[in-house]
Amino acid sequence: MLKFFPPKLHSRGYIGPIGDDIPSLIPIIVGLITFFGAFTYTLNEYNHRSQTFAADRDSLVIANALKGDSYLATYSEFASACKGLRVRGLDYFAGVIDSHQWEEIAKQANSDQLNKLSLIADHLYPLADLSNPGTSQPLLCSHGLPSPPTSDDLALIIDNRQFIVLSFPVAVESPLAVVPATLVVITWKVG
Amino acid sequence: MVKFHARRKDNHAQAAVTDALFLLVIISGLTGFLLLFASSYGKGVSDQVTRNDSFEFVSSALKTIMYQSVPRDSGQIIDPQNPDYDQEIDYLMAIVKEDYADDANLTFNTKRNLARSVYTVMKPVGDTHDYLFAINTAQKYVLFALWRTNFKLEGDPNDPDRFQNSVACSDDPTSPTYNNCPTPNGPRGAHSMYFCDPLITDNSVQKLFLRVGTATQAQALINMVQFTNNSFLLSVDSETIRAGVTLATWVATSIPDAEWQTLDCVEQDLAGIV
Repeated sequence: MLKFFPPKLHSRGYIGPIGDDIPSLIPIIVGLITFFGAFTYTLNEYNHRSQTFAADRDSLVIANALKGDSYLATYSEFASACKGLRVRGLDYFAGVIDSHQWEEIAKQANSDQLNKLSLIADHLYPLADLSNPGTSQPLLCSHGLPSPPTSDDLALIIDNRQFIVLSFPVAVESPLAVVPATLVVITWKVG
Repeated sequence: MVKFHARRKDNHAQAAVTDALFLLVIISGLTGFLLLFASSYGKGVSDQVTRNDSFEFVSSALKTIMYQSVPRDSGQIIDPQNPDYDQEIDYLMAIVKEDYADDANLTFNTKRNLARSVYTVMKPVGDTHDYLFAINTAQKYVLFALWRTNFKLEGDPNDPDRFQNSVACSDDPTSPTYNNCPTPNGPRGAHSMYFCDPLITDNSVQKLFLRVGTATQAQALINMVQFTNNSFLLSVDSETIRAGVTLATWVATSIPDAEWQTLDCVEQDLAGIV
């Protein structure tokens, strides 16, 4: 004959030594998910910003190396500064344009700022190359672009990549006078 | 007699939940700290990078202005792409010093050459930034050229003494701000060039800097010569005066009338300058 034994009062809801700890698992799991989520987010943000700062710093290094003391007397001075550049993880385009050309560029760009940026490649300042008398070379220094880069090459990069632009005035010594020009540096991540 | 009360089996789970809740509180604190760190990390570095870039730009601009050469006749311009070898060209600073030497003032010809040089060098930032270029001795401002973005101030309808909003002006028909500032001579342009004459003894320029927010400045010192008698001999009748050259720029902002009037500015015909 079967007997019915009602549960004791103090054992109501008791589902065993492990089963009773199940409700405590909920805050633990929520806590762990929250913590590791925040940790991953922070780590990603830290890495992303550190890379951005490194890119900003390297862009400034490129610009400072090329502009020197803001006075460009000869092409060879610019060319040797360009050859001496050692930057890891960044491709770049750096060129000097005659400040009087801004109007011409703006006219051609038709109010499109990105187009204006890419047109710089077609308006580079040519400076006399004393190593080859009678010739002049555009003040251009680039890495990761076809040589010499055209405005189409630059437009392709500008359309598809995140980039940094820096511009600094420089004085360029032409045969006639010392004229104002602008060094434009555009950098983007390799890859 | 001391009795030992063993914990009852049915209290275990409750203690585990409490422990887990404590753990959750600690983790919430840590998570908050991590998120705070993530949101604020690099803000100072980012501001510093921006400040460095701005200062580097302004100091390069000042060097470029001081190095460059200009035609002695400010009505002409140098076109390096099509050089005119008959033009009479000299270094800008040489022209400034020569002009200053006779009467300690600059002629309009020299001022126009200076203003055009500054305008050309600052062109990459001229749309978004205002700037000033000044040459001063201990006694006065020899030149004070100011590039200012024009705004139309819209008053608060409930309080006419307060202005609520400022909108940019433009005379470019393709601009969305076209004809925001109509005048009898047509729409006002987006920018104007002024020659000002503030007193060096009052604090009008310092008050201007306080009004415009964060301004980036670069300064240089030059020696100017002034003739003190009529012989015009450098070795006999001249004294050397130290002068400061300042180039400062800030993000375009409206300047209240009170500060503006103390600068004593006169608007120049921009087409005639540039």
